[in-house]
Amino acid sequence: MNLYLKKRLRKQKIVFFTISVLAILILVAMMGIIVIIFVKGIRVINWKFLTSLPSFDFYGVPQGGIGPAIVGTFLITGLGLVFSVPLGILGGIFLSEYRTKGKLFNIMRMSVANLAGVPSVVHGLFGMAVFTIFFGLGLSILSASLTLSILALPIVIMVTENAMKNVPDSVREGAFALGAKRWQSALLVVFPAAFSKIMTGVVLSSARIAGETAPILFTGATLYLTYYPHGLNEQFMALPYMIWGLVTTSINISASTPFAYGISIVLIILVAAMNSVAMVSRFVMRKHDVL
Amino acid sequence: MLQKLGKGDVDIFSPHFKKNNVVDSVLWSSGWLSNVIIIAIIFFLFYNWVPLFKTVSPIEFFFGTRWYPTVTPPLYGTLPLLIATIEISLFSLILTFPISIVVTIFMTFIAPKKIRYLIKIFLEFFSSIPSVVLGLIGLSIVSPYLQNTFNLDTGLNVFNASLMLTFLTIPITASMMEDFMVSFPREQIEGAEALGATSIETLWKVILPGLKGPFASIAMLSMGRIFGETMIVLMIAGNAAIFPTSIFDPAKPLSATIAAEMGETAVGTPHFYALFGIGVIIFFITLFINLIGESIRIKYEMEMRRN
Repeated sequence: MNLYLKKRLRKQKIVFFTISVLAILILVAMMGIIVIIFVKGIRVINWKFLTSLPSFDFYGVPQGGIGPAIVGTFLITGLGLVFSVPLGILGGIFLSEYRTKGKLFNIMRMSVANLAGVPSVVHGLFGMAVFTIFFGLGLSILSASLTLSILALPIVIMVTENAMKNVPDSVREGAFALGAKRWQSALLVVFPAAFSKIMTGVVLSSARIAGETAPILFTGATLYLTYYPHGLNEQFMALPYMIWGLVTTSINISASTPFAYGISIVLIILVAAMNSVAMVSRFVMRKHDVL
Repeated sequence: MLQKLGKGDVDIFSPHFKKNNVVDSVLWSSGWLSNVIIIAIIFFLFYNWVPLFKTVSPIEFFFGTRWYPTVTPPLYGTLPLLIATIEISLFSLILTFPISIVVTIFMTFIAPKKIRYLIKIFLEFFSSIPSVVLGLIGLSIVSPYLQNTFNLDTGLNVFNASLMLTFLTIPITASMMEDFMVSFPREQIEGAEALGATSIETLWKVILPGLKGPFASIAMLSMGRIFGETMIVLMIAGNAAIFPTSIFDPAKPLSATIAAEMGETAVGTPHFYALFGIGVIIFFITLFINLIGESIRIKYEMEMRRN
């Protein structure tokens, strides 16, 4: 080994070492954030916290729990998915199976990417203008979940499109060879093959919707409810909105902060659960992959 | 590939195409749904913005230097808000980009396969943590720390907001970068190695220059993401509608203004219309940024296909 090569290899070692140290520092900082949340919030978490109604004592110290907020978050996320998933899957199927080279098709694809890039606060404005005011749904679970469904739609479309594209062409050719029309190959052959992958993507995107705050700010979320909502035309509480409310609008912020950390833990566990569902299904899929 | 139309295939966009059945039509129309929604968004934003100009001139709205919607007479100048947004986004991008490159290089070149897999999972998990949680950290931990160590008037400032936005965007940016790194053409790497390059030389002289295009598009896409992010800046940018002169000044970005004031504004007042006007500004700037990012990416992908 000559001297020059040695010098170059030493340089490589130094650079790689520096990069490793920096990268590990960053990753540790990110893990640190999660650890801090758990350390600061774990002591407020108990059964009562998760299930009872919120209440504040005379000094603004939160006493009760976050039951309505958990229910509200599940309601708007679930309803949002109910509206967006069927339409998004249909759109994704079209984008993947009816691909052409035309200009119109490119416009269609671009608009999905652009809709995915629309900031959530603009979704909030749009939802307020359309669902709350124009359609007169008011501040309600329904208008919030419709707003969230518009936010989720492009994500579902892209997830479906990618999953369908990953199905090899031989599958389609097989279907065509047996005389299937394009829609038959798309819906009856390719879609079932891509189904589990699509569902994985949907689960992951629902984690994103559950944590959104800006779209529900003006479409029906409220900071304080002493009852569980009875219908879809009522206002609701939501976990992320409650975090914001506790640390910025509460009259006793220092007493409310641990509560906000407790809610963060709940949200993080929710997100982690969705991620692990996606991960496990991905793992199982790889084992049983027929294609 | 299905992209080429073969004999017997029908171009669904051609004027001669008859949709064979209900299913084709349903799929076709749901494909157009996103376009319809985008047009509806633009329509409703303008519909609720234009009445503002009965009372405020467009020049004052875009170039006015003071945003005081609640004094009499109210002032609706959005320039300081725009400057605040740009300052926070740029500073956060400057932090995010090198950090993401470092993390990506660590993942693809240095870490063993198992650790790399774990990091990927962790990044995916971290990217789905709601931004309001990062806002909480910035508000209750970073802010007092900044205030005490640097002797500031307030820890809620541009620096704090940019820092937490950076944590929000690192996972997304790094995983996009990793995708491009992994799919970098194998022949080029092998070519460099065959010429005797060490891996750092391959990285520095072959891979990174080759990925200039995708990295530019990733920068634009992360910028678009940061630009419209609301909860973090609402909680920790300081909520003061002044021109931020240093990174330790409080500021009030566009998105935070909408989120903070919309709840207290009556429908149909000039303030209400002005907030929709801010929505128009955010919408079109992010659209512009995303379009640039997308077009760079598409150009790169076409080049790759040609090679």
